[in-house]
Amino acid sequence: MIPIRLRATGLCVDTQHVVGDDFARVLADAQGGNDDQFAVLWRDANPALLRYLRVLAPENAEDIAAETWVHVVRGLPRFIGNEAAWRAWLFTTARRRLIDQARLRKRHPAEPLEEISAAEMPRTQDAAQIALDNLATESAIALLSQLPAPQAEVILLRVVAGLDTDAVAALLDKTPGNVRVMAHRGLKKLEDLLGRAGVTSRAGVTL
Amino acid sequence: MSDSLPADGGPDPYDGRDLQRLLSGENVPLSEGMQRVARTLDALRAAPTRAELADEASARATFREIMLAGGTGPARPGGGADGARTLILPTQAPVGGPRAVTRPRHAHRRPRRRGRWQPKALAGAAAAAVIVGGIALAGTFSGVGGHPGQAGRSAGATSPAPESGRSNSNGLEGTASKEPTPRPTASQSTAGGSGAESEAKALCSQYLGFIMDHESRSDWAAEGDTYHQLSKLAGGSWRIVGYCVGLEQPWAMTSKGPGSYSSGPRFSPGDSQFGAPQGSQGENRLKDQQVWNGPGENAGSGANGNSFGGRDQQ
Repeated sequence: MIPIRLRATGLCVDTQHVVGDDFARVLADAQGGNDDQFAVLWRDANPALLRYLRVLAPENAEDIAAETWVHVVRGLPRFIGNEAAWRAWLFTTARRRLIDQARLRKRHPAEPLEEISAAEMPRTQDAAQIALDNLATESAIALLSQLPAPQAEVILLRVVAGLDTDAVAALLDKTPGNVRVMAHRGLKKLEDLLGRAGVTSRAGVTL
Repeated sequence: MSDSLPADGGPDPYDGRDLQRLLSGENVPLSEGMQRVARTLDALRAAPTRAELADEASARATFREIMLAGGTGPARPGGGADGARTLILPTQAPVGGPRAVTRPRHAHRRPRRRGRWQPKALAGAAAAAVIVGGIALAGTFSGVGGHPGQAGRSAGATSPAPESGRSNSNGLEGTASKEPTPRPTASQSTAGGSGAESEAKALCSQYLGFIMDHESRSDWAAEGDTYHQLSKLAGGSWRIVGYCVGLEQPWAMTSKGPGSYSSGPRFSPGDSQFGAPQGSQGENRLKDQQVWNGPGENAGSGANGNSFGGRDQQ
């Protein structure tokens, strides 16, 4: 089993190489049907995928993520490329599934069920710990959800997916300059939102 | 780089390169406001939570199912030289897999249209084939009384007969008559009686036997009389075959009798106003010989002076 070099809680200097030099071997084994190596790829990319989808499609992010993985597994034997290309392919597939889901929901709007109160939510023994773990990330996702969708998507693809400007531009079918402008506007808007919310310097936890 | 904006707005304290480095996760000196942004971005890059990794078992199961199904073909660890990121989906989705890719909008209507038009197109083609075949058949038989060299002429191409000045007198050749076509009355239809019918049957038998017998074409002139009589009875040379078939097999016609084989006006066997070729019988015999001596001229043309003359009168 190849250990995954997960990002630390601090800054990740090189977000485009998470699996690292072993990526080629991990990918080859996964293409050969080794589910352990596929799990390496999955554990590396699925959290970023879910965070990306939670901002853009909070209602059915898990469904779209699962559908994305099905498509990715189907095309996995034919994939060729490095880790950056792998991530770009994964998020391109996710984005297409996202668009498909949006079209489907537009054609067949679904009535939401009655909201479940907090008291009725299922509880686990480590619910508090999970809540603490998720707090900063969930707060950041909630904050990014307030941005215009194109700006939020660019920031997510740059930060969460770890794609560079050119890859994001190719994914969104825009020019790199357009991507940079949208990212800068999104960051400025984020700064304004944080300033208005009176956020303290404790890593976005106290929104 | 200053940490706060000047009072007048001033230049941006950080440029695009700083923001790009911030997005890349690099540690750059930032203003107070942007430091909060940087921490928010760090939270997005945080380590995965348990909830985000909770579905690993189902992901593995899906992976095994798809890979074992072999729907995507053999794995190539080394990869090939073809398109790397082209996603070619298998034609059949795995059992329990997600919903297939949505169809294009209004795609469900196209097969219905195609399904509706196919029978109509077939029926139309069959009807056209029957009509063309009937015209060809009628043209072949009417060629006995037709004019040589006129096969294929249209209805407007009148016969260059010397009696062109009275071409409309009886409506046998040339363009349609201006006078309305007299419809046969019930008394006319029944006037022939059984005697006329038996005579007509005899003529039909003789004529059809002559047509069917390919060995005895030497007596065209004698059969010309039979042809002309039948032409008179049938209301036109191109109706002879249908008329004879109606006489021999009334079940093949409508319930109105042998005279109702066409959609046009019904003619009794004794109706003498139609089908009489212009000119003397001697001339027509000569024409018959010329036409029949050149087999194939009229085949498929379905057009000669007599046939179209009779049709125009309708």
